[in-house]
Amino acid sequence: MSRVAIRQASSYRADLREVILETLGEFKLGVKGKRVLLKPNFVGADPCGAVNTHPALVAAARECFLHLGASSVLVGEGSALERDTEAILETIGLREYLGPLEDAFMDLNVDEVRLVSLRTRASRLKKLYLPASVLRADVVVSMPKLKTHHWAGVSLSLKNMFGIVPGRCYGWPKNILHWAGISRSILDLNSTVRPDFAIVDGITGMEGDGPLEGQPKASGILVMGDDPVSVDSTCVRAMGLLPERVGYLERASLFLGNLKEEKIEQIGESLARVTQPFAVVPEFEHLKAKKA
Amino acid sequence: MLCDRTCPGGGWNCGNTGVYGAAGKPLIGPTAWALLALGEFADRPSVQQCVRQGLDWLERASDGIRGPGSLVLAHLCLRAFGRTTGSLDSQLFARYVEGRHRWQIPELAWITLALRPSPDWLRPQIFESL
Repeated sequence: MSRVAIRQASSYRADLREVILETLGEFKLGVKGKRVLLKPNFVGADPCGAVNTHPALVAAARECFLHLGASSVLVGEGSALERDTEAILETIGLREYLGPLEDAFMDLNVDEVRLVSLRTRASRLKKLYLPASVLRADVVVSMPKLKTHHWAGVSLSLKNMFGIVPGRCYGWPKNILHWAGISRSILDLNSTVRPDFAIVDGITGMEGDGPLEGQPKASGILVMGDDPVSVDSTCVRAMGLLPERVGYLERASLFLGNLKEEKIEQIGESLARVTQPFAVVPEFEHLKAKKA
Repeated sequence: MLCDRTCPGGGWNCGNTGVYGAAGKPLIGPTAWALLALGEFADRPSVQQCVRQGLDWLERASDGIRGPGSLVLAHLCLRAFGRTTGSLDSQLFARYVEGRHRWQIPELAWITLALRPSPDWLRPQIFESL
């Protein structure tokens, strides 16, 4: 049995720290003395505020983990498109929320790397160079945006882990993962570096032609939990879609976590209360739940 | 291939000219590198248009550049093609001296090139003096 928390937050000016802290308390995630890595989804230019994980949420999460006694909390991202990470950080204004980034942010695209054997063989990848900052972390927290995705169906805490694959080794936009199959690569990456916790930014999400060209969708929710498959499945349901029809989620439920509703204990807001149908590109119409 | 992968409206990104009907958006770095690579072929009719469009886009985009690495590359490229670098000079100098960014080795190398009095590094003769 897994647990997933849905919390309402109407805007990024809300007291996000309190919401996250209260939820972390319910999960009893032991972080005292541990190295925490927060992995947001920072892509780049974001005129509608629907592309990147909001820096206010990232800063609030960082404060919470430090408050709970983490020895360090590093924010790490390796954008798939933009090589100039400073340009992204300036665009989203991360410094305004986090303060000086010298000890707070790591560009995973250019971090020191180690060659790692992947724990599963869903794809043909077998091994990948991965950033030392990720491998050294005791607790990895995936912090995606609540988005539909034109190739994967949805982009949530499992898909967000694509951002740990270093551009320095594999180039941009990390085509090695696309050539090996997006769904299969998601499985291999997450079997090897499974997020210990997920905090999904659904305050403003994105529907339609995500992850870049979709429309903003104000869902007003944060979805959190320590089982990334359950968290993503709950997000998919909150988008009015069927998680068992998202290929990689269905396969992830065989070994990475729980997908079925009866195996997920919902805490916080009820799904029925927060569900808002998200538009999808025509290729993913089959993800939609039939109207009652 | 470089010209084939030009974004609608000019400039380059990772190579995606469009996805599901949405035009690919150019980025500063790939555009600057592609233009520099095409520089010596810019007179060829097959290349002229994509170079001109790329330069026009880069010039238009230069005011909104946020990252120091992109700033240096745009400066290098526009200067190499004899285009106006506008506020890039002062921005570049300000960012370099304010010490806000963690400059990495490639960026430091680029800025060293950018601050040269003339863009002679583009001409192969420079290597003959080494």
